[in-house]
Formats: sequence, structure tokens, C-alpha cells
Amino acid sequence: MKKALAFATRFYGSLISFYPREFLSEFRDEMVSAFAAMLREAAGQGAFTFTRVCLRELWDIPGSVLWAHLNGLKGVNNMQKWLHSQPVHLSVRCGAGFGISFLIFNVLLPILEQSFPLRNVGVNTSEALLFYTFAWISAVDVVACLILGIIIATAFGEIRHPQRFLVLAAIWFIFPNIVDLFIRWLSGEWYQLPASTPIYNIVFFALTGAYLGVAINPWPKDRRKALQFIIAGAIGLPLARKVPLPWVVMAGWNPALKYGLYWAIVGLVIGALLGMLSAWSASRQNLEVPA
Amino acid sequence: MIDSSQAIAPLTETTLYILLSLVPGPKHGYAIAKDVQGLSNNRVVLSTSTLYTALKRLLDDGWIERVGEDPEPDETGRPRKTYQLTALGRRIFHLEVARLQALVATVQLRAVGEQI
Repeated sequence: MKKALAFATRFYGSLISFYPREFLSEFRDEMVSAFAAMLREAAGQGAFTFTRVCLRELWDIPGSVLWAHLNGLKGVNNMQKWLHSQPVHLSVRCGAGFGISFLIFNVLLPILEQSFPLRNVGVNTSEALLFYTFAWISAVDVVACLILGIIIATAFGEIRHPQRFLVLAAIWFIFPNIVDLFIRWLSGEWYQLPASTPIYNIVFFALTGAYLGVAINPWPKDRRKALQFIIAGAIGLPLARKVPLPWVVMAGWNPALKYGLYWAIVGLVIGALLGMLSAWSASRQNLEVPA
Repeated sequence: MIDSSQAIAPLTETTLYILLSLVPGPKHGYAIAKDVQGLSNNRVVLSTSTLYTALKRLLDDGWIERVGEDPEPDETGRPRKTYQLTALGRRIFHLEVARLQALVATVQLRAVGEQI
């Protein structure tokens, strides 16, 4: 029961992070302390009472959080201040930034790839040709990612350190290809082009999270959030890929534009998720969210 | 100074119980929640979220105020802030009690009339 108590208290401490910053600075410690005291007492009365207290808190938090936020909306200045301090603000900013970046990136990528003369080779070609194909497509990916890196660096005001984004962008896209290729080379079966195996996808998702996390992290000195971003990216990308697009309506569209739009939505979802995570994490540490 | 709308508007049950809990003297948040539960015969059980949003509202309205820290810290050793009624809060509480008493008297009168 002690572990459950400690876990529930920590979880409650995370949940109340959704209150406005001003409210938290005034009441956070008291709330956690009172909740812990309530739980300790409930724990003494058995698991049922303990669960009931936890559920009661879970039930009451959304309404209280909403009230606390609405209460802060008095006057235009307060409203602007409130909007800037909310996770949703950073989410929209990050979402829009990545949505636009992904759109440009995915319109550029097919144009660059079309320059490859043997891009439609089948699986029955020689290993040398397949390796050449792989190398060419990877090189194109790296060039496209460098462009993406520049766009993101510009969009997020980190133009002072563009090299960081360029290197990260290159690693982000080329590394999963290399891992995937290496594993298939070990197994003796590497006669498919990359981007098709679960290994590739897992590495790609994790690196996307890490890359985007580093790129949008408004607090670059805080390295502790690296794991959070990797997890968010790994969850965010597969989640975003489930977004249904009206393919039927878009049947006559240019493929580059269609996939560009698809990836814009993917970028929007990932950016929003990571922005929310960043702001939530900052809120827990009472850090100022940059406007 | 009491605004007339404040004086007339009926208080919510939660607010009334919190004010009632503070009538004898200052209390910290958890003690208020426990007291409210006891006063209402376990009918009003305040979650910490409800309690502290209510306390925030009462603080903002000037009905209660912080008066320092409880001499007995919580189990983790953290000091607990205590709250007490302000003169305004006390006055509003008494106005609400008078309003409820008048209401009960009217109800009783009508009930007695019907019995006769």
C-alpha cells in the first residue's frame, strides 16, 4: 500500500500541473500535502476507500482546473498572458511549425528522388544495383533533411546554431536506413529497399521523437527531457499515421502535394504532442514558457 | 463594505460549510476538509481540488485570509498554511445564517398551518 500511496501522490502532483501557474505557485505544496494526508487516512480504511478517494480526485480535477483557468480570464491583457502560458499555445506553435516544415520537405523529396534514373528497379536486380539505389535514395534523403533542418532552425528561431539542426536532420533520416540495412545484411537478406521493415519504423519513430524534441525544446539546457521526447515521438508518429485523409477526394491531386499534405498533418500532430509535453513539463518545474 | 448582491446571493453548500468550519478559528486546508465532512455527517466530502479552488475564490473575494503556518507540520515536515475568516467573511456568514433561519421559519409556519 505504501508504494500505491507514493505513486498516487506523485501522479496527483503531475495531474495538478494543468492548473494555471499562478494557482500552482500559491497552492501546489498545500494540495499535494492535503491529498497525501487524505490518502494516508483512506489507506488505513482499506483498498476500497483508497480507490474511492483517488477516483473522487480524478473526477473533480477537470472541473476545478477549468474553473481556475476561466477565473484568470479577466481583461484582454490577462487573457493574452494566460494564452501564452498555456500548453495549448506552445502546441499550436510547434504543430504549425512542424506541419509547414513537413509539407515543404515532402514536396521537395519526390522532386529530388525523381532525378534518380533507376528508381523503379525491381527486386530481381543485382546486389550492386540495389546498393547503388539504396545509396542514391539515402543521399537524397540526407539532402532533403538538411533542407528540413534549415527550415526548422529558422522557424524556431535557433538559426544561431544551424549546424546542430543539420547534423541532427541528417542522422534522423539516414541512421534508421543504416540500422535496417545492417540487420538485414547480417541475416543475408537485404534485397528490399529500406523503409519497409518494423526495425526501420521503430528506429525512425524513436529518432523522430528525439530529433523533434531537441529541435523544439524551448529549454535546450534541460537534458532530462530527452527520454520524454523520444517516447512522445515514438508514440506520436504512428498515431499521426492513423489520421484518415480523404484519399478519394484527393484522387486527382498531384502525388507530391497529396503526400506533402499528409505529412503536414503528421507534423502538426507530432508538433502539437511535443509542444504539449514541453509545456506540461515546464509547468511542473515552474519554468517560464517562451512566447 | 458588503456589496448588496453578495449579501443576498445564497451561498453554495460547500462555501457555507467552509465558512462554518472557520468560525471557531484558523485551520489549515486538510483540517477544513475533515471538519466539513464531520459537520455534514459525511454528506459533503471535499476533494483537494474542490477545496483549494473554493479557498482560492474566498481568498480573492476577501472572505478569508492566510494567517501564517500551523505549528504542527504535515507528516513530511512541510509547514501547513492556515486560513481564517475576515471581518467581511464573518459578516457574510452571519447574513447567510440569518437568511436560512428566515427561510426555515417561513417553511415551518406554512407546515404548521397545513397541519392545522
